[in-house]
Amino acid sequence: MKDLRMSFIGRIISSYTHEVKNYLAIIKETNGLMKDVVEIKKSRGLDEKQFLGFMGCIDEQVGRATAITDYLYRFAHRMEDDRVAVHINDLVDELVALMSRLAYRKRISFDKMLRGGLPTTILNPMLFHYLLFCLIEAKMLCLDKNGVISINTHFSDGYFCITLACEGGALQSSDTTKTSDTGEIGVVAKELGAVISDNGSETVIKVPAVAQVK
Amino acid sequence: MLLVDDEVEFASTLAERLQIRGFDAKAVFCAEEALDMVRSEPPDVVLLDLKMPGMSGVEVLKTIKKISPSCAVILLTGHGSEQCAAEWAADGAADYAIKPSEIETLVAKIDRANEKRPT
Repeated sequence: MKDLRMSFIGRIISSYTHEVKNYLAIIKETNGLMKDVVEIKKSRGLDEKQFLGFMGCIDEQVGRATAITDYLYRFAHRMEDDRVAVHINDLVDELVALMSRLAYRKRISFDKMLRGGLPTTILNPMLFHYLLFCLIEAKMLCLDKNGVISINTHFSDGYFCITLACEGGALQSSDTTKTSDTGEIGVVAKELGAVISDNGSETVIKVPAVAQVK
Repeated sequence: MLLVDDEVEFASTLAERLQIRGFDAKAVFCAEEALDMVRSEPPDVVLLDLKMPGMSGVEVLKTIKKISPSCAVILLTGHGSEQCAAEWAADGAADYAIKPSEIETLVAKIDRANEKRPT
């Protein structure tokens, strides 16, 4: 089980590094093109509009790299303690951002609807992230390209409810053995005190809010 | 020559830099488009991103070599190693380049791959 958790962290980090390397590659080539254009146009005057375009592109890539780095920073920072006060929506938001590259490679996209005003709770963020990662990954395995995984959160009857649903063609039916009490997802859910239900089209994770922080 | 990468801005910018250096470089942004191009007007050299959505770069490489055996394919990858290089060469790759590379390095690899390509 511990190996699987390490592997999950490894996959998140490799997804992040791949994303950031792409942003850096675009910045490098845009900067290189600026140098090329300066060399060509040295004697003819420079086109300000073209240069503003290059600078805008670099700004955009720096913004994207900063945003994804911020998500990874928060994801890593939360692992320092195994019981911390968190907003469920923040955890969902971070993981979905960090899994975007993995989904993109399978031509799958995410659609988030995170209900505002949810209370804060205390839980083990690494376990929650791992559980959500496994369930989203299971959905990705079942979904054909161009599919959408919708993720929504709400609070009901003392539980945080995170619902995962798929839209698009199915490649295979979901593997329910993993979500059974003895499967790896079931074991993590138990450790977290969460309950998972799956009706075939939707998976719902219910996390008890017994340890809410005012 | 053909440049295949799903990162549109990266592929377009690199293609422009290669055009400045005298290459007839075209950029396409998915494997399917690349294979259509190879079927319709086979390029001498293909710069191919290894990790793209849908078909993997290695699958695209093998398909390109089936369609046009004389086409030299250089793989673009975030991380390379001697072991990977040997495996890619066995699959028909002429060379690989770490992304991002210095433009001069890339140009040298393209020239070398073009000179060595089977006729």
